[in-house]
Amino acid sequence: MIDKAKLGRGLMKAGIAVTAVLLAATLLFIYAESTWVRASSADPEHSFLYATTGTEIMPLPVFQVLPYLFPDQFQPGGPAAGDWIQQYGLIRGKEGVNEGLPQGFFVSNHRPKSGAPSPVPFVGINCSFCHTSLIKRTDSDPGVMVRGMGNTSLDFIAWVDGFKTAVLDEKRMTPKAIFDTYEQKFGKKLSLSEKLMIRLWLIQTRQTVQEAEPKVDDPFGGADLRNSAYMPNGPSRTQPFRNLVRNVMNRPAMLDHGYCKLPVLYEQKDRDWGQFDGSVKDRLTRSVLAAIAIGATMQNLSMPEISNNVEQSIAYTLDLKGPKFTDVFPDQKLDAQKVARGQLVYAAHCDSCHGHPGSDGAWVRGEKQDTVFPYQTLGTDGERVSFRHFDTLADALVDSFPPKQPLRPNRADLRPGPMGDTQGYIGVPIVAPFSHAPYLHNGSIPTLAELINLKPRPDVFYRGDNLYDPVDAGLIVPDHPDALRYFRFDTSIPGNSNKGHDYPWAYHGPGWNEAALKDLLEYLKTI
Amino acid sequence: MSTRQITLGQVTATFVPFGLLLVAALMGAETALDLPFQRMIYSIWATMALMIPALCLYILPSRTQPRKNLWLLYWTFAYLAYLVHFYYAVMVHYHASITEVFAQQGVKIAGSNFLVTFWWALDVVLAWTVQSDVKWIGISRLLANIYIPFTFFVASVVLFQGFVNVLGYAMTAGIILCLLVRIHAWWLAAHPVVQTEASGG
Repeated sequence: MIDKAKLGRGLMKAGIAVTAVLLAATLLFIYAESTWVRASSADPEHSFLYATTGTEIMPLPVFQVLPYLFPDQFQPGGPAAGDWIQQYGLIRGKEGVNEGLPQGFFVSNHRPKSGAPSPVPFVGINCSFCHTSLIKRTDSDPGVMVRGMGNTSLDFIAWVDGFKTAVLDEKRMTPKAIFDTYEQKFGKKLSLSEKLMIRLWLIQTRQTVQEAEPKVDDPFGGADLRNSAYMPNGPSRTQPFRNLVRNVMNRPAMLDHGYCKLPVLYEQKDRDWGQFDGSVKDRLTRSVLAAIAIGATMQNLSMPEISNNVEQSIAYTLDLKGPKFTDVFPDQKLDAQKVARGQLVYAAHCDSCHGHPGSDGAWVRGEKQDTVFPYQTLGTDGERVSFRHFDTLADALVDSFPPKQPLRPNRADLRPGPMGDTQGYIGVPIVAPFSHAPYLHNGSIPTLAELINLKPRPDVFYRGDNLYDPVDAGLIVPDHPDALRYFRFDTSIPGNSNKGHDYPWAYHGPGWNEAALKDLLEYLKTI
Repeated sequence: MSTRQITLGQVTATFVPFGLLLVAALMGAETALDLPFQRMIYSIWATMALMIPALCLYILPSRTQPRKNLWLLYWTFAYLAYLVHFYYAVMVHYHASITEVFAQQGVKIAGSNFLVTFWWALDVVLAWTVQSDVKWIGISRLLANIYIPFTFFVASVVLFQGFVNVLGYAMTAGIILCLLVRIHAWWLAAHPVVQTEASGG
């Protein structure tokens, strides 16, 4: 006969024991989870190249299969235009390094946005995604990789739209399709945790993209990704303030034409104010705002590993040397006499705004360096500094950070504000100017020869994977499209103007001196 | 003074729901990309689920020792769940910065939350260590049992929306129901029914 009281006590003890075990297991799991991410001890170079800056995007297995699942989005030029890495202007990674991912993608065990630990690695993009470039002279040239140089072929905004279009495709972008494609491509099954995380990520990411659609419209996809009428940024440019206005002010920024080329990041110690208009002073704030514009959050940027990586990446750029022309192009011999004459032209017409390298290599400040010149004075395109909300964005940015939040920008470090207005462009050091191509803040002038008005500036040209011309110092831009140069750059549309900055002289204008300009170009190749 | 003898049944009736709710709160958050935030949310749900029986047991009449024991255990476990919420809120969400808590929540809400945290802790400690009926402890407990549920009501019904509203309404309904039972018992005690022949039929 069963002793009911004894049975009851036994059941109660079992219930308590099972609960206690579950609790202990949960606490152990949480402890184990905390070890998936650790405070980084990465050095500046490693941080710049491979470390997380809080901008995780998708699980690694998804990243690995997306181009196969969506060739229409990741090879919008068709198979003949190359694989997705080539079509979006990325720099191919090396086997065995950083999972073989293209340059600028990192792998971390942080979940997107929150930075919480993830059992499944996530892929994101860091500083070197935009600020590392290849200089190629032929289509088959492996090229010279230059760290700190703005990527001349990266079509970032198109890649983002292609990715969003894929995420929104509920018929083709399913967990099962991801799992099956992964198994087909890599010959192994995904683990249970990977499958669960992918499902979770897909649900939440799709929801996020869908929620944004009423504000920012549907993303473009397929062949439209290469249509400059729809995707006006094109290679090597972004619209940084459109994203900030959207993310911080919750406005669509429909009228924004503030296209910005991806800038170089050499010797940042000599830059008191960052951005083309000198609108941000503090270096950490510059990096934080750049990271937030592409998906980082205050929450994950405050985490020890991520904040350390951001600081280390900044440290990397403080003394990062620009490339030497003669190292990149050893076959190009510079004429010493022309260089000497060109130095005099530079001193007379360029030095006061830009400064020059001293004999010890340190940058000697120009008299007007760090001055913001009104864009009307320069004659260059004003969309970058006159966009809607230009005057209120800085306040909104600061207010978007809680008071006392460690990353909250100091209001005086942002302009317009207490430190003045910035509706213009700032005079900055021009380290290794041959590697700044394309020129002006909006990348509207392909070569240095055209920037200094030695040669006429083209009105319409095609951008993409453009080759480098060491003679004119800049990008070779065809006047008709081909598979690799697909983006029609029309300098007549808002934000694309190639006018202005007519220094030393306007093309064939008063004082124009072809010989002096050739000398100047030669000198510019030496600094 | 009564002797507290907590039985196996009482521990089972309180620890098992506490443990399971906490496990669900902590592990359920794994299904979110914002893991710490969801743990903060789910743990306060667990707190409320455990607090409702504790409040009812405190309010209901006829406070027998077994009922007192159950109250003590639910009150304690609810507080432990609350401490988990407090950890994810203050230590994780607000980066262990009291300044940030006050800056983001405002002085009134942050001050109230810290008051709840300390007052509840004090009451739990006193409940375990002092068994005699000390007057000031009784008054403090009465006030705590008014103030703490009030703050939870404001948060769960007035300030926030979502599933927490269900818990907020359930807590409110539970308190009102238990108060009615208590009032009814008090009224019966104050007005005993006199058995007469007429009324007896």
